[in-house]
Parts: sequence; C-alpha cells; structure tokens
Amino acid sequence: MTRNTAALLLFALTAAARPAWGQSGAVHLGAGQVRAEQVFSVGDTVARSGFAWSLDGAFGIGPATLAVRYLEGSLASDDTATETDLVEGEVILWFAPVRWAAVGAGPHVRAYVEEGGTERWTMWEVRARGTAQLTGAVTAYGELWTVLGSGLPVTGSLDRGLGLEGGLRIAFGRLPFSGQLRYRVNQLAVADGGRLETVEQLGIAVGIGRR
Amino acid sequence: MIRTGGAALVVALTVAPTLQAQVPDSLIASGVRAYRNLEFDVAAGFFTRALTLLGVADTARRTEALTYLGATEVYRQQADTAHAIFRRVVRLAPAHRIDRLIFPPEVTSVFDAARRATPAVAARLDREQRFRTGVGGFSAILYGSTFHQIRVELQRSDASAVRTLYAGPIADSVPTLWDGRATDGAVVPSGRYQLAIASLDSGGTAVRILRFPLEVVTTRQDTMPLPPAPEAELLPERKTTTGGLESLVGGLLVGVAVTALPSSIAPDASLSGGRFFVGGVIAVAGVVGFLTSRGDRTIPENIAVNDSLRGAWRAARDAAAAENERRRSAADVVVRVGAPQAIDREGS
Repeated sequence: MTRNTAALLLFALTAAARPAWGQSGAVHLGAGQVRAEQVFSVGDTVARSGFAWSLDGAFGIGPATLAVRYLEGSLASDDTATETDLVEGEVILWFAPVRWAAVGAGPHVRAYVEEGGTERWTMWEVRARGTAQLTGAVTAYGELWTVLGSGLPVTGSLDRGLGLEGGLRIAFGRLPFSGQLRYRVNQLAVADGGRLETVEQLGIAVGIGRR
Repeated sequence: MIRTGGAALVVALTVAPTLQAQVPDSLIASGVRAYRNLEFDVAAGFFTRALTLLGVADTARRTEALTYLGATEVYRQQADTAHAIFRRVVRLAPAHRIDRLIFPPEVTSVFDAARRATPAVAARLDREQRFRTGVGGFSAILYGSTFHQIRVELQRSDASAVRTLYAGPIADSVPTLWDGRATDGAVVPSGRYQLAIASLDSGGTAVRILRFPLEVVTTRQDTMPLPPAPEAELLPERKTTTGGLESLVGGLLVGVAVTALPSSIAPDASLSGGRFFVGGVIAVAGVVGFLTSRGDRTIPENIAVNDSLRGAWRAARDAAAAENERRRSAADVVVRVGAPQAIDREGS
C-alpha cells in the first residue's frame, strides 16, 4: 500500500465517522484477486494476475450518492513473471429513485505502471444497479455499465466497453460494520482489433457504515 | 325659622352619639376620681351606671369599668362580689392582665385568684383570610386567661366536628393553623362552619366555648384531560410474508446475472471461475432468505418505535394524572369570620 493509499484510507475513515456529512456513509477496505488479460492486434495474449487492495467510499444525501473507489495491486505475468502495477480509480455519482434501483455515471481510470512507462485508460461510464434484500442483513446487488467516452493509450477508437459487478453486502447486526463479497468483470475492445482489454476482480471488503 | 330648625336638627343628630359616648366615659372618669379619693360607694355607683350605659361590644371600656368596680368592691369588703366581678372581666377579656402599678396587691391577688378560677380563651384572627391548600392556611392566635386545657375544632353549623385543630394546654398563647382540609384530608366543601374553642376544666368538661362563625368558600382547579393512547400512531409489529419474493427472485436474478453475463460482456476472454462462486453464493443466499422470510414475523424496528411511543404516552398520562390528583386535592379557600359568641357553663 502506497502513501497515497494510506492518505486516502485516512480521509475516507474520517469522513465515514462524521455522519453529519450526509444521511448515509460507508467506507470499505477490500482485498482480492485481480486478473487482467490483454489481447494485442498481432494475436499475442498477455495474462497477468495478482493481489490487490481496494478502498471504497460512499456518501449519500437523500437519493443521491457519491461513490469513490481506489484499487492498487501488483500483477505478475503468467508467462514471463514480469510484474506490473495496476491502479484503478473511479468516481460515480448515483441517483436512486427507488430503493431497489439506481443509475449512475462518472469517470473510471485504469493505469498499468511499468518501468517503461504508464499506460492509462480513461473511461466515462454510465451504470445501472439493481438491489435485492435477501434477508434482514444480506443484500444482493448487480451493476451493469457501458462506456460512453474514453481516453485510450493506443491508436484507434473504443469499439465496445462493458462491465458488470455483482455481490453481496452483509450488515453485522446492530453494529455499524458491514462486509462485501463481489465479482467484477470489465472488457474494453478497441476498434479494428487493435486491443482487447479484460479485467476480472474477485474480492471481499469490510468497513464502517452501510450503503 | 325652618332653616334654624333644620340646623338644630343636624346639630342634634351629629352631637347626640358623641354625647352618648362621652357619658359613660365621664362616669368612668368620675368613678376613677372617687376611687382615688377613697369614696368607694360613690365610685361603685359611677361604675355601675357606666356599665349600664356601655354597649356590649365596647369591650375595652367595659373591662376598665369592671376592673375598677372589682377593686372598689375589694375595698368595700365585698370579697365575693369582687371575685365575681373579676371573673366577668376574665370572661370578657381573657388576655387582660391587671395593672400592678395602679392596683395594690390586695386587689391584684383577688384578680389573680379570679383569673385562675376562670379558664377562658380569646382569639386574634383576621376577619377574612385567603389561602391555597398546601401553601397556606387559616390562622388564629389564641390567648389564655390561665393555664388550662383547650380543644380547638372546626365544626359544621350543627356543631359536629370536621377537624380538631388543637387539643392540649394553653398558658399564654397558642397559634393554630387550619389547612382547609377535614380529618380525612379532603378539602372541605363550601359552606358555613364554626371555629369552636373549648376551655376545659380538670375533668375535661368544657366550661366555656368561644365560637367564631365561618363562611368558607372553596374553589377547585379544573383538571386536565388525559392524553389519548397512541393507537393510531403505532406501527404494525408483525407481518405475514407470502414467501419472500424479493429474496428469491432478486437472489436468483443477481446470481444468474453474475454467473452468466460475464461471458457476454467479455466473450473473447478466458474468465476465471470466481463468477460462479459469487453468483452461487448470491443465489443460495436468495433461497435462504426466501425460506427464512416466510410466515409470521415480528418487526423489531417497529416494536422499538411502538415501545418508545407507548413509553412516552405512559409518561405523559402519568404526569397528567399526577397533576390532576394535585389539582383535585388542592383548592383556593376564602374564610370569612363572623362575630364571636362565648358560651359559659352556668356556675363556672
């Protein structure tokens, strides 16, 4: 965890501890497995996997919620054993007209940091989320999103950008703590077969507050 | 002629009462002069005539005349008469004490003997008193002629006792206070009562009763209504679910979506099995939620809210009931005191 991550964590915990900021607030610290697969135009496929930390925060006022996410991990290539750092960040502004559904939009940035340089993907996404209360303490949710605009590190335009996240949120009784189990997959396809970028994440998180 | 006659009538009407008051005064003054000149028969005549002319209510001058008359009888060697006259003085003004600078010991000793033989009580009280029960009361200060036992009662107009205010000895004075309540603690209703102060002999028999008629007016405060029970505001405490449709459908939908959709979102990628694990857990959780949410269930959040509402209502009800109890037991009381009447037992 870098110094930036620690600063973000400290800020998020401080914010979650002050409910006066909004009607709801939550901060979760997560960990999990990340797998990134890149298919290049020449037909080469590079698969990397590794462990990543994540920090999520959500602060809501009425039907509006601002959700931020930061992820950082180190991925190793399955073939060459070279390591690449993966850093992701996203800021999504959600609006929930009803309890079980919400729509949101915001930027999502992904960067691969290597010794030779940093490859940064910027995506402007529109998302939809459905929520179902399974028991008094367990909630299931599923998110789907598509990329409307992008900034690519490669030549060509984005042909397709889709993503999905699903998981469970568990409230720990009357305590203000909660946990999450989640799976996420996101694929970006650059036009004319220029690049196929897929990132899969499986992880758990625990934190303060409830979304 | 008519004007002169009218003026004479006005003068006569104005001067006549003054002259009437001056006659007993001059008779008493003449009697005192004769007494000092040792003309006791003459003095007795003046005092007797003055007493005949004095009104019954003129206690001060009657007391003065009787005291000098008693002293005169002492010097006329009429000891029994002097004793009887001094007893009249004591009954008339129980708090009266003979002036030992004016009268010699042979007189004062007879007076003291008469005082000791005549238990009586005088009372000093305001003619109208207002108070609130629990805050103030109807007060009177009693003065005794000599040390003896007394019983002070608030009575109805038929002399039945409402409350005994004091029963015990009196020497010089005793303060009494009535709080507006009967013996059972209830505020007495408005009506006519009397304050009866009985002087008792050594056998406990009343030898003299001093009665003050009382007109008592009690005004009670209005009570407040009790707050209504919050039945309309209570939330349902139980719910009968028909199968937890949200749990089942939501869990299965999300589970299937997490399991199946990644293949559509990333058709060209070789995905891990993590989606099956997460999707399966979600689906199973949905089924578990479906099974556990069926039937009749309590709603703890609503029960807590209802308990809070009921608690607040009970507190408000108890507070109102306590306030009403206080108001019911309290009243504003006005006591008007009439002219006293003393009744002496014959021969005492």
